[in-house]
Order: sequence, then structure tokens, then C-alpha cells
Amino acid sequence: MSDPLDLAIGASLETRFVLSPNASLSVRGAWAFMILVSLATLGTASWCAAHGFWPVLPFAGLELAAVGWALAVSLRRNRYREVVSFERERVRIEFGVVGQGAAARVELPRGWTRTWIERDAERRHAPTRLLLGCSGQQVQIGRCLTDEEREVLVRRFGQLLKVRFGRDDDRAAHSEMTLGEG
Amino acid sequence: MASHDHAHDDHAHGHDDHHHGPEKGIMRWIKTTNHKDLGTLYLIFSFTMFFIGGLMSLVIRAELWHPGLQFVDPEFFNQMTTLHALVMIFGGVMPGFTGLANWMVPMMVGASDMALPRVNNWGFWILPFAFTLLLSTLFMPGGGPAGGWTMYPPLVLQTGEGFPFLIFAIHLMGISSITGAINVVVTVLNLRAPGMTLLKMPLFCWTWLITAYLLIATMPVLAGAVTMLLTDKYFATSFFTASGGGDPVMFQHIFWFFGHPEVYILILPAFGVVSTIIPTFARKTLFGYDSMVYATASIAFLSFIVWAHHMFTVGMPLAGELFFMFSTMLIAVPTGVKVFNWIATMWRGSMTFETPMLFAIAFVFLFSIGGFSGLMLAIAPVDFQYHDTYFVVAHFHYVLVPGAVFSIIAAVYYWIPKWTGVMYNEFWGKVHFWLSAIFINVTFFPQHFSGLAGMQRRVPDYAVQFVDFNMISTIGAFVFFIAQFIFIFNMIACMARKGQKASDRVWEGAHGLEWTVPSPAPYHTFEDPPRIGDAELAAVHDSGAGYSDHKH
Repeated sequence: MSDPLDLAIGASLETRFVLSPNASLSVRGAWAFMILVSLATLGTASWCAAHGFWPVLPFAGLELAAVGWALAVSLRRNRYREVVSFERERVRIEFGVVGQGAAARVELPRGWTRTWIERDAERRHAPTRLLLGCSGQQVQIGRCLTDEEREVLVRRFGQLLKVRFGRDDDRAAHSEMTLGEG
Repeated sequence: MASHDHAHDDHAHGHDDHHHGPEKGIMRWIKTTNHKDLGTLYLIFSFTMFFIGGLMSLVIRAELWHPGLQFVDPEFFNQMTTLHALVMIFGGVMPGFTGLANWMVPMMVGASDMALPRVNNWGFWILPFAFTLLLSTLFMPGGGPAGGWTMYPPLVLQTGEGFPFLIFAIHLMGISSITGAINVVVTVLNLRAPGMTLLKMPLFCWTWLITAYLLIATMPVLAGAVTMLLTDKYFATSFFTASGGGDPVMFQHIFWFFGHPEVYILILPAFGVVSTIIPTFARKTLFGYDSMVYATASIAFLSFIVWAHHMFTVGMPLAGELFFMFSTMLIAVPTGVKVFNWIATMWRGSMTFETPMLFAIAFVFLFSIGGFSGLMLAIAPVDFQYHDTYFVVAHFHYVLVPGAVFSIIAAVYYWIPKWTGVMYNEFWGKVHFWLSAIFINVTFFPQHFSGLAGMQRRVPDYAVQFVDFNMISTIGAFVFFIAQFIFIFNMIACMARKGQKASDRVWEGAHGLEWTVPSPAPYHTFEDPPRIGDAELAAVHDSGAGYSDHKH
């Protein structure tokens, strides 16, 4: 199982985060299950067909197609990714699916970007929201992570945004305050 | 300033449109894709079917109160025995366990919902149509199917105009079962919370995963078999028609190749329920978690190679009879492992006997009786005497009622405080248990004796020598049926939020992710995967060392 919070590059200025949904099923695992279930189902259906009871076979085929479709849909969802790249002058956020490139891309000026976590005031158990924002625009990221992972990530983002300008008692205080307010 | 390359509203702007609550009114239930709503629907449907199937059993028992014909003619009697079985198996037990899986599997693995919520909705809503079709056959010319739930040809081909409705209903039930099974498989395999490896899963999820595998593997066989019945009757094929070169005995082979795994489909989730409840009230971790998983898998494997023990009397080569006899006896080994593990879990535990625990203990005790009578039936030469007698009826009812049905009841008592946020009434729960436990034995234990003495099943009349046993059985059946209303009223009170408020971790000894969420469980749980702490794993592993062993 891959770690959803993949710190691709350590603590350098230019850092990239790849966020992926929790997915406990690997492609290999899906194939293993599919083979296991096909062996039993097709084995039985083929035996029936060989003895003249062929109507079992199309039902087996239909059902295996349904199982395969369900696993494929799940695996496709697992390929959702958010990539947050901290570059020298900008923060680039890309949303997409593995193998299909970025379906959406947002770029924010790194110097003016801040990050914070929002909690739902009305619903105690609603998940938190991790936001990157600049000049009134907000980008929600990490919706596939846990609350705890978002807490870790917001601290890490805060450090990276602070490091860029190196000045920043003010910015650090602002970041902490924002977290506290959340 | 900020630049956008593509439309990305879904991702780029904060919104909370996925945190909605349920719709209002009837449309909530028709359109719902929420696993808790669908779990509730499945359970309500299941208990409705238990009620209908129960009424049919009372017709049967009333008729058997005395020898001779009292209330119904033999045709209708046989329609009742056939439909009672179909309704209880496909309408009561299977949807009951699917309901429990819907409610609990996502919460146990830390997922926000089932993997395929819309498929889940379709899977449920097929069921009412399927059973409307099935039960409507009672009002058709020729009446309902009367050849037994096994639908053996050529007898079943004599069914009246209800026959195609029976076949279509079976297909719909199969589709519903398969959608449920696929959903459980994908949920368990793909939506487990970070840190929850397969061997850290609660046993209920394991048993359901293996059940789903069995369902997927065997349902096409049933679908094919009933389709061939249909074509034999209406399209002049001869799959099972001897006059056309077909072989009616092959239907029995094909049916039981589905039918025996089906028996385990009905009981494996019950093993999971009992394996969840006993550690909670023994305040110990489950003894032999890994061996429980392997035993469940072994039972599933063996279920594919024992089918012909249902057909010892149709005529088989001696080698075949020996093979099926010994392979059937082999099932006692993994089943014994399970019973031993449950007892070892209770051994020196700080036991308390709340209603779910009482039902779980009764399950262990009475299911074992059903298991032992199953071993007797597995002995091929002896089965020649037992076959088609009330001994078989007693055997499978001991496995299915104090087995599967008691476990569903235990599970509902165990989890309903989590579902509704309200404790059930413990006093009435215990009254319900004792009435059920006593009168289920009053109903079915005498049938062992009447069966051993030769009383035939599926016949409304019998020899005078069996009167006493049958009267006792009938009294037991009526009281057992009436006692279930205590349960229904107790549960309705919980659903109406009348009772003591339940805490989040309802039972002192309960562990698992489902107990980390509030009571009642919020409409959406775990929209983000939770972290699994060792404390929550304590319920599923038998030693502290075991946890670290499984941390891959």
C-alpha cells in the first residue's frame, strides 16, 4: 500500500508533494483476486459446458465481467492524484489521474500564498479542509487524506512558504494564528 | 497572480457539497446510496421475509398437528414447504447478512461507504420485485412451486403458470446477491483504512469476503440451471428431460454444486458475527485469529467438493460415495477449530451475559448439535435411512435457525445501540432469548426422533406413531414465532429512540473502528480514512506479539 503522503524531495526549497487516495488494493492484488475467482467460476462453467450444460457459461462470463468492471472502476479511482510543487517563484497545484496527465492546474505566486486548515463550525465530525490561498482565491487540496495527514501537511506547507522568503516571524506567526483560528 | 490552465471548479474551490444529510420522505429510501440507509432497508426487508416465511412454517406445523389432513390440501402444503425455504433462504437470511454487511463492513474497515453505492441501491431494490414475483405465484393458476426449493425436474416442471415467474424471481435474487457480493469484495479489498492489512481485519469482514467469493463462484451455476429448466419447459430443449436424451440427475449435481456452497454462504457471516461478539463479552481477545481465517477459507474450499452428499441415494459409484463421505467429514476439522477457538476465547474470560452474548453462546452450542447431526448424515450407508426424513429437517434447521438466524438477531442486539444511539431493553432481550432458545429446541429436537423412526419430510400426513413428537414441534414453532415479536418491539423502541442513550463504545469490551464513531453513527462516517490504533486491533488478535507480526 503506498503512503498517501509522498514527500518526494526532502526539505529543499523546491519540493514536490504527490497526494493519492487511500487505496488498499494494488493492481497485482486485483489481478490475483480476479484469477482466483475466475478459476473457480470458469472452471465450473467450463465443466458444465463440456457436459452439455452450456447455459452456465454465459452467466459466468457476465458475472466475471461485472466483477472485473467493479475492480477496474476501483483501481481507476485509486489513480487520482494531486501534485503540489513548490517552485522558486510559484506554487503549482495539479489534479489528475495517473497515466492521463493533469486534468486541472492552478498556479499561485509563492510569495503571496498562505495555507491553513478550515473546520466545519456546524458539523463536528465533518472532515477538515486544507486550503492554499492567495488574493481571495482558495484551492482545496488533500481531500483524499485523513485529518491528521492534513495537519502534518499544513505545517510542512507553512514551513516551505516561510523558508522561501526567510524573513518571517510575521509570516510564521500569521500561519500559526490561522491554524489556531481554524 | 494566479493562473488557471483548465476548468477545475471541482478541485480548486472549497465546497462541501458531499457533506449533505439524507433526503426527506420516501425518496430518501428509494434514492439512497448511503450504506447505513441500505443496511436498514435490507434488515427491514429481511425481517419482513422472516415474518412471511414464518407464517408459512406455521401453516406447515398446524397441518402436522395431527395425522391426516386438517387445514390445507397436499398441493398447498407442498407450496408452503417450497416457498417457506425460498423465502427464508433468499429473502430472510441472505438479505439479513447483506444488511449487516452494509451497515458494518464500511465502518469496520474505516471506509466512508461501500465501494459502489449506486450498485448497492439497485441491488437492494431488485429484491422487493423478486419476492413480489415469487409470492404472486400463489395466486396464479396451478399455484406456486411445490416441488421443493431444490426445484428438481421433472417434478418442478409440473408447476403451473407460476413457473416462469419462479425462474425470473430466482434470477433477480441472484443478481441482487451478486451485486451485494461484488460490493463487499471491492470495499474490503480497496477501501481499508491505512494500516489495516488483510490479517488485521475484523473477522466479520473476513467471513463476508469469503462468502462473497463463494457467491460469485456459484451463482452462475444456479442461474444456468434454472434457465435450462425454463428452456426444457418452454423451448423443447432436453437438458434434464430423459425422454429427449437429457439427464434429470445432472440437475441435482448442478444444483447442489451451487447449493452446498450456498449453505456456507448462509453460515460463514454468522461465524464472523459470533467471533465479534464473544471476545467483547468475554473481555478477551479472540483466540486464534489467524486459524479462524484459515478455517473459514478451508470450509469455503471444501464446500466445492462435497455437493453429492445431498444425493447419496440417487445412485453413485462406491468410489464417489466414499469420496463425498470423507470430504464431508473433513469439514468437521475447520469447523471444530472455530468452535474450539470460541470456547478458548471464553475460557477464564470476565464473562457477562448480555443478550447478544446469550444468543452467541446459544449459537455455539446449538450449531454444534446441527454439526454433529450433519456428521451423521455424512455417513453414506446411514444416510440411506436418514434421507428425506425429518432427521434432515432437524439437522438443517439446527444449523440455520440457532445458527444463521440467532447470529443475525445477536448482531442486531449487539450493534443497534450504535445504529440508533439508544440501548435496547435488556430485560425483554433476555426474555426473548430464553423463549427463543427453549422453544427452538422444543420445535426441532423431537424431529430428530421422528426422522430416525422414518417420518418423511414434505408429506402432510404421517403415521400415528409420530403424533406426540409432531404436537410438541407444533407447540414449539408457534411459541417461537410469537416470541419474535418481543424482539421486533424492542428494536422498534430503539428506532423510535425510546430508551437509555448509548455511549460511543457501547460495550466495555468492544474494540474496532465502529466503536470510535459516535452513537448513533453519523450519516457519513470516515469521509477520510482513520488511523488504526493498536487498541482497536485488540479485538481481532490473540496476542500483542501478533500485532507487530502483521505490521508489514
